[in-house]
Amino acid sequence: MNREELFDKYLQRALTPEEAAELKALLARDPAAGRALVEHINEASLIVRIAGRLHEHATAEEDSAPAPPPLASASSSPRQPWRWAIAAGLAFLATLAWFARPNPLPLNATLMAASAEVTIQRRDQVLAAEPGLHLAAGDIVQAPSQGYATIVFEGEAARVELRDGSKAAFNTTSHARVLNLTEGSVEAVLSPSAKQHAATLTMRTLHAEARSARGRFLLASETSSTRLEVSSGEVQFTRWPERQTVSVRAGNTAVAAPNHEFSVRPFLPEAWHSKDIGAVGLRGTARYDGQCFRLQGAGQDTCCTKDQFQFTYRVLPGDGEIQAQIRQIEFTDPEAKAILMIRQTLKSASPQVSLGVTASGGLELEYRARTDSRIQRPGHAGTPCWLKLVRQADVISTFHSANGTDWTMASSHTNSVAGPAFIGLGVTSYNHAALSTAVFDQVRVTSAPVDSSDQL
Amino acid sequence: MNRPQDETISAEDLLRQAFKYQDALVSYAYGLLQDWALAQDAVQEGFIVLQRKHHEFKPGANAYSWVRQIVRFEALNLLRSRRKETCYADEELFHLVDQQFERYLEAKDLGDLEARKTALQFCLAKLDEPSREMLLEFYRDALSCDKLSELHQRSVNAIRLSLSRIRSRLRDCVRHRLALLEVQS
Repeated sequence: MNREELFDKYLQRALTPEEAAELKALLARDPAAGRALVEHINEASLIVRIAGRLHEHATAEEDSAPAPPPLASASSSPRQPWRWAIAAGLAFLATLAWFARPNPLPLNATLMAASAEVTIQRRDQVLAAEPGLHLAAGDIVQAPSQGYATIVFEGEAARVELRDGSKAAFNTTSHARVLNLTEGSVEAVLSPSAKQHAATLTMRTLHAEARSARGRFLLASETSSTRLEVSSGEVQFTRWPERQTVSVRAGNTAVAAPNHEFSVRPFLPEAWHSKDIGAVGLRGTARYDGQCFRLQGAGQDTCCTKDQFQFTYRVLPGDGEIQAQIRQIEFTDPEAKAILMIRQTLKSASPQVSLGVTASGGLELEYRARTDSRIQRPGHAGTPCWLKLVRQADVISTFHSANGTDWTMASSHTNSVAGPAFIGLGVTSYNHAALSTAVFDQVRVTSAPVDSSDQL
Repeated sequence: MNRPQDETISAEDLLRQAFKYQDALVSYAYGLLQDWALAQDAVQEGFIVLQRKHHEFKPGANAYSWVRQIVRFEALNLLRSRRKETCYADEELFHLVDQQFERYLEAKDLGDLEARKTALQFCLAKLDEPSREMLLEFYRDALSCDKLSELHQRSVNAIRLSLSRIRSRLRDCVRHRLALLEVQS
């Protein structure tokens, strides 16, 4: 038996006593075998984690709890005693059905983590939100305006997180856990294995219902609409009151609202991708709503030797340009920044040229080549403002404008990037523990045709 | 006696750090327990324990090592509790595998695992769905080659060969991808 087969048998708990002894002896005498085993386990574990996300699971249909039995009505006419007999029989059957109904699922939910001031309402009581508290059906959990509450479902590798003023009631039916979201947003991460019982999680708002047993998704209840964003897995999304259902898969979003087209669209237009560059602290996101790009990112700046920010980009094979109107940059720090950037690679220390506007309104220009890096502050802009980067041969030029028509050149750099590169939008919050939102309108990218062999 | 404020880290901050290592911790627990579902339970339990014991963590210490010790303890408890159900609990192997993870970490950093994860993500996305499904059945659901042979109505040898080829294709793809990223940087 080769080494790989031995490792696989170990992972399957299928070793015979002789093979277990062989593995022990191997690990005791050969450090390289130990490393190989750890790498094998890491690889198998990543395969399960990633392939599980990619695998499309059929979502279990939720059966709603049976309605209480109809009460048999009986005529009181003394002249028709047979009616009494039928009514009594029906009542007996209904009582049987009531007691034989499927029991609701146990909630098995525990408050795992919570910031200060999270409240849990149980009937007329308000409980202290101590981590480890077991929730009961009917409990209402509310996160403070700048806080969070994480609830795990025991034994199922499933959790939900309420953030920033969100409020939800937890309940169960015979086949699903039900979370009624009355305010804010909730993110669900459901990753049970095939061996685990995968209870469906149903999340309801005023406008819609989302159901899934596996995946990662966010449901946000807003004044006149409910938005669903699915990062992995698949979610059945039903709009009230007509009960129209769409299936929303990973990388897609849908909005349920009266008089609004109920359709599924990808997070980003075709050919666009997003990634957190460097050790940002909090995971960023990027969405396109048909008009604007809305990026959320953390990180401690794009500067000096390494970048930390959320980057939403396309491949730029050769010459090209990008321009956008910066509509908003959320203040998490005076140096929080919305930028346009051209960079060589997606590594944090990559050569790059970028022009951005900070939350304090300043223009900031960054330039990093293999041998040199520079930062300049070419003036004040505030938002909204227009920015543009142009790559032509080995020169990248940066521009800013107040109206998108009259451009002022800010800088010009030679030999900063070479060959295929990445062009796009970015945001950094200048804070590892906070996300800043930047809104980019009227984004326009032009580039030479892409050679498919250069696609990354 | 209460600890001075500046010598402790809040449970929230510690949990935030621990979440960053979730993939590595699940891999570790999976290696110890050889059961994907149990591994996730061990990590989840570990996070709950972390909430209770956060004041014992010394700021500046290696958060991953600290959380890993908690997960190790939870994994051992799970292994012992399962011994009654499955008659399977080889504690000697448990400790040996634990040592290998310890040594491996001395030699490599978690960034390596992260880079591999990114590469593997790319390569798995390119893999056809039936192959991905077979890998999941083998590792996540722990179906043996015999079971897979019944399920797919193919010979045991054909299943073994398929798994070996899929793993080999993946490994080549990851190697190639890592090299490409290295060149780009």
